[in-house]
Amino acid sequence: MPRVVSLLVVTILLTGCRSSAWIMFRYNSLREGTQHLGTDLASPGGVARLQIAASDNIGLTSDPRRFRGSPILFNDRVYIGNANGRFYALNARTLQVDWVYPPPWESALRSQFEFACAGVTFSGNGIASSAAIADVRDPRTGRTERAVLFAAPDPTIAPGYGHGVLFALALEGQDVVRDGIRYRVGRLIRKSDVLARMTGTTPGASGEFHEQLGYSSPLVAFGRIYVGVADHCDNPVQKGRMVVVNESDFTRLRSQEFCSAGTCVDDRQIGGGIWSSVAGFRDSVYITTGNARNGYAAGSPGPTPNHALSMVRINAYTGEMIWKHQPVPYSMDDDPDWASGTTIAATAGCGDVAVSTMKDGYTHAMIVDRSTTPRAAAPVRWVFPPAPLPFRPGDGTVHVDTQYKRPGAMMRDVFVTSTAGWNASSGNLRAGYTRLFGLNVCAPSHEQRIRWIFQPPDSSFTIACRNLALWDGATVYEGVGRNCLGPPTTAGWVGFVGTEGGHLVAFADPIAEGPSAEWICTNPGIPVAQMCTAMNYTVVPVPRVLVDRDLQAGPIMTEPIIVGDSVYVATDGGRVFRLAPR
Amino acid sequence: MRILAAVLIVMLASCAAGPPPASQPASLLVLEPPFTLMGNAAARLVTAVNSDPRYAIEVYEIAVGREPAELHMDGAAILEVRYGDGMVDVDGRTTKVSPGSVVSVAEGAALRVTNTTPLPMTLRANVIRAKR
Repeated sequence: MPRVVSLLVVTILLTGCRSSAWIMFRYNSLREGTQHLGTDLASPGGVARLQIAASDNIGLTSDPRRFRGSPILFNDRVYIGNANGRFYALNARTLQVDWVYPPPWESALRSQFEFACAGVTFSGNGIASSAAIADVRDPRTGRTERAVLFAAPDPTIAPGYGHGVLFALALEGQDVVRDGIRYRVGRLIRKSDVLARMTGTTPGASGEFHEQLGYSSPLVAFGRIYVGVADHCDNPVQKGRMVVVNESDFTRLRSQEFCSAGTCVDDRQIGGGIWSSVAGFRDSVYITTGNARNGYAAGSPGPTPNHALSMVRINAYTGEMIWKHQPVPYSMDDDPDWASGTTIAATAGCGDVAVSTMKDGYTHAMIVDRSTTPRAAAPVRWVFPPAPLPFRPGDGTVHVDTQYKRPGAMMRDVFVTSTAGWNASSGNLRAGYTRLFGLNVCAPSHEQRIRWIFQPPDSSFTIACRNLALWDGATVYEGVGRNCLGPPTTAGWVGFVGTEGGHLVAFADPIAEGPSAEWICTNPGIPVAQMCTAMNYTVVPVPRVLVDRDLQAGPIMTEPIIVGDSVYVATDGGRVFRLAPR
Repeated sequence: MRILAAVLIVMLASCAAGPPPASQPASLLVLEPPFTLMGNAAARLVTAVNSDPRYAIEVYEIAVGREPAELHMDGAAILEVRYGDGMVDVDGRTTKVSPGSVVSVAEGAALRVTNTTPLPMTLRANVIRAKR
């Protein structure tokens, strides 16, 4: 019981007792993706009656209009940035626009390098970093006020290509009259110095910096703000860096920063982009890092030190590395970025665990102890599918640019993640693109690791997604960066996920919330009857679909956030919806 | 605390020992090609190349479980162990294998694969058959 109480206390502290809020990407600094506080949507009954209750009036009818940053909700407003380079505050009930930033007569927050990754990746377009709530001091008044914070390119800083900076805006907008017209616009409290450099727009130019913050939602914790620097579709590979600034005045804390390749002062060593959000828990922050080898000539030994393709635990106050877990060595680095970020599972059953799925479809769980003493070996709790680590050339495993890059969510002691499952071990890496796995974090054996496997109904996916996920065995490389599922979120034993086909789907844990009508082999290609257990796999239940709503507004690649009686989603078609039981 | 632990144990146990109906049909949710029985193993065709006038090549994924599997390949084969540990016996010659191991099998040779772990064992079989 003390563990449950402490979890509740941690949650309340992290959310600041804000009962009707979702204040950062993945809900809290643990990046759990789960609503802990009161919601009507934690039981199947309420979820089944979900209908669209409101939609936005932003009026995005032509591109760019994609939402790749997820909404957050605080003090009855939804805050969200768009690929068009504008940031919106919406009334949480009606989704009517309250204010917008920058105002229409100022340049949108866009990079001049968007063209380089057109159609491949989308987090370099406009504002893709989800916002967070922070307490920031206004330099004009000297007063600290609560602000909404996000990372974005800033075209107003010379040479104007879109250096990445942090913006802090007042929660309340202000009226501005211009040419006789009254506008409601966001009020800038302060912005940071340049944190991600964009010094040119020549694709592949190694003499230019093409850094960006779009994949990383700021972590506000420990009186600091942490944000990850990656690049624009490896064009070319840049140095991964966790930037740290003081929460109040945005003073950059360079001595507490962490770089994935070489040192932070040496720009020649590259790799290990941070394509995800930093997680924070009890004196430490956690990052996952991307590839390095693509940035070096064949035969090069790569960066020294090399923290690419790793989960790294870092002292939150000093920037010192406590440990790293690097399952794929440099010699096997065929771009299996660790891109989903870390989820801290403060479990009731087996203590604190840092868990994440790598782009190659393997899920890794690390023990989180109280010691911040640096150590050479990372404390691995389990890897699934089970495998001797680190991988080694010739061991039969494949680690390439596959698409398991969505953060997972906690459902009590179950890690909900998009992963290849057992198919990772046999090289059929794409077979999990349309599925979520419920992994028992505390299971005592690998046979009990998979609790359930969920796949939204076929109609939730486009033909393109289904073809991509359809196992054909021919190749595991991707031509484009399509994805079938967005990041899942949870409340109680209920899960939510958006799909590439534009559906919001909700499901219930089949063990906690009633019997399942269907069962599946943990290697789904093997029929349940006769073969599954004979081949040493197990049979698990399939969660029941509670709701499958086609929002008809493009793919949903953002996280559904759950607050009170509502779930909010934003779409690639430029729409924001609120669904509530009717 | 004990109650919580008991609940957890029950939940884990129910997960591991889920009682599916014996006659459960193949899931409609499975997109990938299903495995079929190949002796005591399960197998599915990964890809086939038939464009060469002299040879046909078929690639199979094979899963071997708790029972040793006698496999009959329609041609010469190169086996690659993708996952698991075990023994491969080709015409009476036994080789211990682990992930990454490769074993060649002459056409017509007797082939037996034994999984020596409680976990799954998967192999890729590249089968080359001369056209006559």
